[in-house]
Amino acid sequence: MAGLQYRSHYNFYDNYSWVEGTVSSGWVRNEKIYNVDFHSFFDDLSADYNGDDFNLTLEFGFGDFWVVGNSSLTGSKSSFGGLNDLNFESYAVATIFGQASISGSGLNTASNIFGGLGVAGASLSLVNGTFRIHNGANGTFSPKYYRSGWKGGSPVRISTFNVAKVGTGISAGANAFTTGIAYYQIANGTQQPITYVDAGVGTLGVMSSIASYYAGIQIPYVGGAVAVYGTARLTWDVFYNLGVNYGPSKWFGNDNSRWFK
Amino acid sequence: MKNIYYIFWADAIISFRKHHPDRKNWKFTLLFFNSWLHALNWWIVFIWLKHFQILDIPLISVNVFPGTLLDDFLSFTIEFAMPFGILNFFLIFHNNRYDKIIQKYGEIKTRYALIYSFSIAILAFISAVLYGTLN
Repeated sequence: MAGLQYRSHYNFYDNYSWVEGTVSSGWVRNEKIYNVDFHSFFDDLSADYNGDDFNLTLEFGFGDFWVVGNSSLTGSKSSFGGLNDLNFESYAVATIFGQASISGSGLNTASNIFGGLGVAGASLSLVNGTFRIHNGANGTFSPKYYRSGWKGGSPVRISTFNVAKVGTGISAGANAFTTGIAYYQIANGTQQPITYVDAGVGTLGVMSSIASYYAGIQIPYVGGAVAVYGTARLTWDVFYNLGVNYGPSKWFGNDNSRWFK
Repeated sequence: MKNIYYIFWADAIISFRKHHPDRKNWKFTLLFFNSWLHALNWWIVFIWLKHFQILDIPLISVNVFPGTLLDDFLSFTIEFAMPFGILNFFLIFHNNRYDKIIQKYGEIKTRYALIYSFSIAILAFISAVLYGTLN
């Protein structure tokens, strides 16, 4: 759901005209049901609000495409006068699926990037070399790749790891990861177009493993491609989320001009 | 009556050992892989029960990692895969029970593991597309 935003609007009639505005907006993180704290908003509103009908909507969307959530407003209207005692809650649920293509190129671009990475990394599964992590003598971190496939040993007891075996383990994990996320999101109703790509790639990986395990047929490239795809998906998701929540946009608040100073 | 579950496991172990005789971690690999296949099987049942409003089992939702994918993966693993992982471990690998299972069911020639695994993988994908389209 990276990239999904929310915004909430209110309006009410103050005996003369409709008053409307935005309560808050921001990025939706993980919540399928998004809760917004409106207490400070009602504190600010107390001078204008007279207790008449009050409408609140919460919307979710990407870019120019927004969906209105199902909002509910609890708390008695008469209590608006005594805002200090107001116990107000509001939530909205909006499910967006199958619509993301409307929001545009973001997801499509992401799909192309991941697809490209998968193809580019496919040859990894055919690597026969080994690698070491430390030099053995004193445990110093000293990574090195051995094209010859050297199995390690020597007087200083260097340990090496087979790239293909490590890749096989990563590939098996990637098969599980891509199918797991895709099928969970579909069951949960939070799927996006790329979810079906995940499902397809994961299924291909699982079928490749089945062919290898139970029929002895090695299908080249698939295992490596799935591993790279899964890693790319995970890296993108985690670091995009970290960037949105802890990155430069959080350092300067909403003052975008400070980026350029 | 022959136990289809043990027949599947016997064929899975025999086939894997035949094609990968050098794999030392075959127990873990098979436990992990077959538990995942069982998870996909359970997921297929789950979504169609939900779709036809026969039984709507709540989904576990984990929220501990940044982003959503790791959380989704962990949720799927806990709800769908972990029960089968535990069950398979105790029914197949605990106290080397697979030895007796292979002795009893190892003579069957039909490649149940291959047939079952391919069927589940394909059915899961078809179900995903169909369910996503219908909902």
